[in-house]
Amino acid sequence: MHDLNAAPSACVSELELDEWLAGELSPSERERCEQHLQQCAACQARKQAIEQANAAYFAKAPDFSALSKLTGSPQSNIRHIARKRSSLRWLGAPLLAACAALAFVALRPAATPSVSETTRSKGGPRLGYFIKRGENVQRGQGSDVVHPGDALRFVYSADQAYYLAIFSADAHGVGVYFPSGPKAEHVAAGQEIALDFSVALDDTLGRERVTALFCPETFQIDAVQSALSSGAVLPPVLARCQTAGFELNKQAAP
Amino acid sequence: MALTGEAEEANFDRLYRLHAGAAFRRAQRILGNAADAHEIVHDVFLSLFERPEQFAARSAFTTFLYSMVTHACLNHLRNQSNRRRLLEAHGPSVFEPSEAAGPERIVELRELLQRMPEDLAHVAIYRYFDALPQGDIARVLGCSTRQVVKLLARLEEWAEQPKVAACTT
Repeated sequence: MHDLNAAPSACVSELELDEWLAGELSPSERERCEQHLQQCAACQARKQAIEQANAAYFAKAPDFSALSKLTGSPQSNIRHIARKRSSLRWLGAPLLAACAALAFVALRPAATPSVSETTRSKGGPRLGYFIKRGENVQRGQGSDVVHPGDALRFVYSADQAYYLAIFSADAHGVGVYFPSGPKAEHVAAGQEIALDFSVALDDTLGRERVTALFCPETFQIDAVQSALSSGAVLPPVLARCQTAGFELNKQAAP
Repeated sequence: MALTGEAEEANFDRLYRLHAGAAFRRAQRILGNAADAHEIVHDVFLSLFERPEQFAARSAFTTFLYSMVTHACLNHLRNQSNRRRLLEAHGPSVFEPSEAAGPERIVELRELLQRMPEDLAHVAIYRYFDALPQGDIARVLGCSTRQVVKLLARLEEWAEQPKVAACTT
């Protein structure tokens, strides 16, 4: 067995490069490393490759802070998710993206928005959710079977700031999950941003459609709720909104 | 500074931001594909978040993480259900700087890792996948350079065994 890829001994090792990038080298080690990098094109190239790879990784990876807001307590939340780690790959960016692609139903409305006339929009804002049942938390996959008493936590992804409202429609009519105030609330751009509340599902069984409106300007919640309830034409202000949502299948707990 | 007491949300996020890229890069190189590497990064940081006391601050966090990722990758490679899939993984998924290691050689090394003794497997990863010099391997393993030299010699002997060679053909 021979050494396949050893760098010349004077060169900076990959471990040293990682330590240097993490700010862990002592002053003398750092000085040696930096002096060598100035003189060695090969090491400079390796350093650049590492930095580019790191940037590419983090361009897609969610951060811990956003994720740990899901249930308030970061420790308890992570532990809950850990029990479901086989189905939740929330830390792995591509896997998370794949999961998100399944879980999110991103919809872009036509000129007159209608929750029944929807098309997929790959790059638009997205709405996802986590389901907490007892001690377990799992990512919603879309069309999940849920039970009364399950808690939902919403997360959204948007490449720009919007005014957001989230509605639900089930056999009992149209309700409002977000916001609690009279107008759609401003939300910042970001990936996997958790809204700071959860909802406990009521005992109305059957299909429940959850729809989020991402709009460039705010609007009155009750006007939209009324229009959705009655099937009336939605307010024109919603013409520039984008919608996203998912459907739940609420069944009695076994 | 130990990780214990530093596992609050912001600090953990900072550690993740500083080190997850390196963890992913190494895991991808060792395992040969991004999906499994993401799984390793996920599991390693989740484990650290759950049990921050694992990092006892006897070394820098980077060397500690090298060790942790190596261990996780070896476990992953040795998981029976992963074997065949990972053995077939090669080509562009092998991250540089293993420039001298062709895909066939990496596949062969991966196969050997699954069968060699644990201590030799660790040293083999640092030597042949990470191309670390002996001093760095000693730092990550927490032993002397002399011990690393002995391990490398044992590794050479193990690789030269006829049964090892027969198994790889």
